[in-house]
Amino acid sequence: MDATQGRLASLRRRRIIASSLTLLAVIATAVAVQSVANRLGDASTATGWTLLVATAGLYLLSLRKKLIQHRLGSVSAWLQMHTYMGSFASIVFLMHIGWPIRGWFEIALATCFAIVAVTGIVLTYMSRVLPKRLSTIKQDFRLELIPALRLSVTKDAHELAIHSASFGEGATLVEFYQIRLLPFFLSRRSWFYRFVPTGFTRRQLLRELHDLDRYLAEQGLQSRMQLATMVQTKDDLDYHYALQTRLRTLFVMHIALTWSLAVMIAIHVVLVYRFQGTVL
Amino acid sequence: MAQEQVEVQRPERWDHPLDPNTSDASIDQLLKLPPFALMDERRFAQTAGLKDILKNDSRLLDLKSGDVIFREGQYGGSAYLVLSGQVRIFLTRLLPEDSRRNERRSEIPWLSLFRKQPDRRRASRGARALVAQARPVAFSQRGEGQNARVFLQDVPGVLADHASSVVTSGELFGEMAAVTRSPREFTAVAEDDCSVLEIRWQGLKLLKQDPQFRTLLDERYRSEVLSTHLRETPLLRYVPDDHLAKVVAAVTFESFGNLEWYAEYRKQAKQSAAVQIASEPIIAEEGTYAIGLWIVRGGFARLSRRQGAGHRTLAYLGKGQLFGLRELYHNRIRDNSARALPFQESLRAIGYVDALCIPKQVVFEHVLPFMRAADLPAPLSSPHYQFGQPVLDAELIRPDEQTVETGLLEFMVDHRLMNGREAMVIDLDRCTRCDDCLRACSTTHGGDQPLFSRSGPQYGPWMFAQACMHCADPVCMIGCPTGAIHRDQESGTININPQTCIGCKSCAESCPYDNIRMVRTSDSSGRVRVDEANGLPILQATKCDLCSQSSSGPACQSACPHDALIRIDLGDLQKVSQWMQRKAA
Repeated sequence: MDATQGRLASLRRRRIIASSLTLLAVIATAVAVQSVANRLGDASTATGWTLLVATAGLYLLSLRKKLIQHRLGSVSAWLQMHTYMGSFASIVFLMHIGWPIRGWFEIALATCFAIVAVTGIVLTYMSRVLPKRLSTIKQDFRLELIPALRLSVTKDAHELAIHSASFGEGATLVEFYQIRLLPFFLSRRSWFYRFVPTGFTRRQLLRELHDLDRYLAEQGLQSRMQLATMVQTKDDLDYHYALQTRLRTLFVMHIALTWSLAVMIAIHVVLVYRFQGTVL
Repeated sequence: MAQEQVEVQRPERWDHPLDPNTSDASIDQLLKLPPFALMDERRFAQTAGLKDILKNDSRLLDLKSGDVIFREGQYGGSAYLVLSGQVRIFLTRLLPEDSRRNERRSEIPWLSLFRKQPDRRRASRGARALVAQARPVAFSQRGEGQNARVFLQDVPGVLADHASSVVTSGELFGEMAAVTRSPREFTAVAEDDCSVLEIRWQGLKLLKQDPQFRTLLDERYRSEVLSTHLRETPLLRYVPDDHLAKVVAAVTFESFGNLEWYAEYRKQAKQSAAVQIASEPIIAEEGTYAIGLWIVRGGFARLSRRQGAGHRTLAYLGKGQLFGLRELYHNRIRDNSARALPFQESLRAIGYVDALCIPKQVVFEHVLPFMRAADLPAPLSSPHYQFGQPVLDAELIRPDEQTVETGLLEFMVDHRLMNGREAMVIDLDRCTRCDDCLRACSTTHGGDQPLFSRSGPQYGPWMFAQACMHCADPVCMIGCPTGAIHRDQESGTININPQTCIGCKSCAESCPYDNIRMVRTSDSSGRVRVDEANGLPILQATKCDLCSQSSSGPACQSACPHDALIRIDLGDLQKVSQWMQRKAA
């Protein structure tokens, strides 16, 4: 078996092992909690410490990313472990919280945990779906280069449209550019587009551009086709920008809340032990 | 705020000679010996005269009996000229494949000399009859540090067990690996106490300005190819010696294209596929008489078939691969009433190709009768080309014929990507564009800029990122005047020595893939180094070094959280195909 086959087998094996271990851990925790409750023990302390350990384990991914030069397994394996451990922690979290949640701090902590968990689930889903959508665009664009590329295509479109006025074929293309294309090239896309990027505007503009053909001669037609390509490029850039920004924003949110959560958990543990009641 | 600067003298070509201890007297002595005594010093530039070349680009090696000069499979950038004594060239492998595979990796440098190269394409050359019967070969180390040398014990015993040839005073050897940028094909050992002059590739290139030396080089190059490499072809492994001698006598060695192909490629890259293919030298053409069996010796060749008005690439053939065997075998076993078949595909040189041709009659008489049934090709049931018959149109999609889809294959050949041994391929269907790979690269290399760019040619969801591919044929090395860019003898990775890089940009300009960048240099205090003569910054070449200083392998690959990035040998289509067809995990 060569290295590539080995890699694939190891990915599948990793998934099976991780799923089984998560399931076993959940069952074991549920049995243990039930056993503690049956013996009139403090089940919330048991689930609390389990949750603390599991949550601490989730931070190991960040640590692994920092120690990139060490031979500690691939980050993808650690991410997979993070995902399964996150699932386990979320289930234990549900076992741990009492309902209704009492106290503003406890509500804030629970909300923070829930948002981190939800962003984590959404990130997992989006990291599988969005790359495929991004790769449907013929060319890949790096997020930090997109503003410069947008500016470049806007400038090119402007020059081309102005130049087309000198063909002696009338001002059809320039007028259309001024009224319909200039706002498209200059404006940022709406918030709605950033959440649900669609090709509606692009298709409409391209159709309208195509409708101009009957008024254009040879040189005008060539310019029209070049403008159509630029509209397509601008739309591709906007599409990439929208999807990549969405992913990064969610990732930043997940990370930022993760560290807030760490602080809140620490306060929660201190508070629990500070005000813990004792049975005489 | 302007960055602080420090004025320094611009580094020059011979700031770091191969042997700093070489004296003028020893060079004068050398100039009296052939072939240097026969050279015309006026043919060399004043700034790089014959004496300068010998002083800076060569060194004298005083060897004892049994000293290993280099071993098979190592990469090397030097040729060797025997000044006195004798050197043995071992044509058979001294260490059997199995023992080397089981050998534990050692950090002791001299032991690593005998470590197996991680080059799977070479594995097929494993079985050689002589080795099977040979007694184990023992090596020892003499001296320490820089002067350490590995030597072969019991030279007479080893000579009795292994086929070898002798190189005597005035003869050159080892230049082929240096010229073709390929691994050594044999092991060279000092037979008795001898003196050998090592000439590094950069000097060798300058010495070639002299026609006398060029002739010596060419003659040696050809005879070496014919005598050693035919024996290595798996197809000929069971051919008896007397028949092999007939094959050796009849075989012809031919070169196609240009060794410095990158300049032409840059011009052709923007042309249409048809123009690109038309510019590739034809080695053998479909529909023409199958006149012989071609064996690719070096470089890559495009195997294609006409499709409509164009040509469809079926595969690319690399070192050791054959062309024409199917047709010749068919013609050999056909009924007397049936007509001979012409070549069914075309073979074209991509860049530069070294190839051997064994004439048809010699294949019939001295090769085919000794081939094992398992090695014989399947009969041609529905040939596309038959003399006197209309040409059958090829089916557009024949998955059984190719390992990867046609479009991808064409793309890789057109972009010369098959040259990459450690190419960075990113699966954009998985890549979330998180840039963890870039950050990992940057962190591993001291927090500076990453040594690659997450951009590059794209085919569907596959991006061939701009990271050094550590090519099979590293053309970036050709023009380097100091040897700063070199191939690691053991791992085969291409590295840049910052001590000897003079910032001439030769490598960056010759890399066909734009994977080498020139960056400003700074001293230990972080001050930018500028040329004291004109104030211009001192540049240095930089590129991916495959994290050679790190024990955990390429950081980019291990840092990818989604398994979207791989460093892969694009010459191995089966591996590429397996990776690309993997299921979502």
